[in-house]
Amino acid sequence: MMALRRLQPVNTIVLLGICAYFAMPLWWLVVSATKTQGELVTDAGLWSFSSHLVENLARLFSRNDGQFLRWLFNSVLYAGIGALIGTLLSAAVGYAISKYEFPGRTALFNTILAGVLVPPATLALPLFLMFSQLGLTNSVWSVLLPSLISPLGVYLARVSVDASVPNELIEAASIDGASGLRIFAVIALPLMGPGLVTIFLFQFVGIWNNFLLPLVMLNDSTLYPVTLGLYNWSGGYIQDPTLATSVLVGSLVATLPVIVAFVMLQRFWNTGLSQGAVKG
Amino acid sequence: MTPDISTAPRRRGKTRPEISDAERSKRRTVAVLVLPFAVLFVAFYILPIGYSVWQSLFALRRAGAMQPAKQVFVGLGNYIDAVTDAAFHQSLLNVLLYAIGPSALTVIIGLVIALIIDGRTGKRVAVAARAVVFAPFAVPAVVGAIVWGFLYTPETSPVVDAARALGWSLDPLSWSPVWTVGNIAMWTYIGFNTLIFLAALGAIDPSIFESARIDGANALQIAWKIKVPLLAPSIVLSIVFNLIGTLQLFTEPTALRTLSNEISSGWTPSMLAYAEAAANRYNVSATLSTLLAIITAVFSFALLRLTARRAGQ
Repeated sequence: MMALRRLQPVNTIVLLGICAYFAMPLWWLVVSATKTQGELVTDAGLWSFSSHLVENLARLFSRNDGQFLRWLFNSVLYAGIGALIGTLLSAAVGYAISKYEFPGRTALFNTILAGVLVPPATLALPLFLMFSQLGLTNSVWSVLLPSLISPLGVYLARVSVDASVPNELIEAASIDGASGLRIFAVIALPLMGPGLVTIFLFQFVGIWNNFLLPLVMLNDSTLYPVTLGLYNWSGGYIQDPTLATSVLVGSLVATLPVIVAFVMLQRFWNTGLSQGAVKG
Repeated sequence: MTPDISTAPRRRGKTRPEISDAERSKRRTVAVLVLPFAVLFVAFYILPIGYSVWQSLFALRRAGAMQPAKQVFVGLGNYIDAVTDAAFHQSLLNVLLYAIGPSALTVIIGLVIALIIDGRTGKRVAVAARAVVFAPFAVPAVVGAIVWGFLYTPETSPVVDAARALGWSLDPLSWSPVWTVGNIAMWTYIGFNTLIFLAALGAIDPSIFESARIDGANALQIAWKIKVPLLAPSIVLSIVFNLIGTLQLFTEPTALRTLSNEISSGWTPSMLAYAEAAANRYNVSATLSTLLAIITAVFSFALLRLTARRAGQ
């Protein structure tokens, strides 16, 4: 105990240094979002807040006829709908694998798990060729449809069903005459609640942050998600220096939804971990 | 890969017609639950891989200068070209350096931070530190690269300013991309590794530490001699995840390329495959994609198998 006490101040100092490294870039982003184009260069400090945040936001959202708002809307569409349908699909497969015996069940699960290891570039490039043969590249579908599938989601769904849906409940409902699908929808899904939220948030953040698939699929900038839009703007500082402030403020706006999602996720994890501690 | 832990309800002691009735409705239920995902999985995972392999077996050839190009079956010819291609070698070398540099450091630093946080006596600071370290994981890779790009640029960087005040002149954009890209990825992924290790540490029975303390072990000895060995399975898992991430490296170097001349268009294998596709050399691109998938699979399975055998002994 003595040794531990003596180490505690050292521990605190080291931890503060570590936190400074991880917090600094995001802090710099917040401070820089308040600066004008000129102040970014003349006053590059970490503490020099300026007063141009509202002006920068106004310029961001009015640039190129509200292009940025369009990108945000696209990201919400791809990530929101993709994660919602994707979570349901993952939950259904995870539930079937956990609670039913059927031929090829283990093979199905292992194949889906192996999908976690497949490099996105390996999928994105042939997907582009396949979609272009169907004439579907440069469309909402080319980004939305492949995003529906999440191997990690199936794995998490199975773990969640194993842990939170008791067989007795299924048997009882089955004896009462409920159909298998009804049991899944009315009994299993609500019991999987926290697991479903985790799957949804993971997939939401994954689609929101995705870059390669939209880069490969989309030509039309009105279909861009916000990541691809910011990337395109960031290539144009030299031609138009005022883009720099818009890219920074836009980066901040594009990051807020995922930060919020992860704060929610951590809250769920905390309750999950503490429940595990009580049971274990 | 995972143990079979199914606990499907057993049907016993029922008469024949009942079984076939229940069987039929069970089959229908399983089909409705599994098929939507399975169809999409085949369409967007299995088919692209198959298509990629198929494409990699062909090449565009012209019979003469004026003839239109035709797809010709070349067998493994593209693969022979790829494994003897200097650009592909260079991209593999880049990710190899990256794997033994930033990627390995991501696991090591993630582990050290987890041990530091786990070694605290108070809870509040630990929870706050965990949140701060993990936050960058949520940030889109493009945004991470944009922000660090500004922090690498001398004119806009408070870090370069601070270094200049101390008498150092830094120009991070001229450094090796292994480290400029590596720093962005480390900043993003260390927290995720820390989280995995913290979860594993939380699952260890605390009475082990108590008895070690009574035996006179100090905090550092407990961390190094007890916690780290017990974390071995999580460490291997982290290494596999980081290795996969390294082989797939694409977004951060692509986004940083708009600022840094040090990063070529084919700096990583994924970037090379994309550049070939962008130049309409689809067969070459498909070959590189397939090779990348094979390398990833071989490394992951080898590592997991190796540790599974170790654990068995």
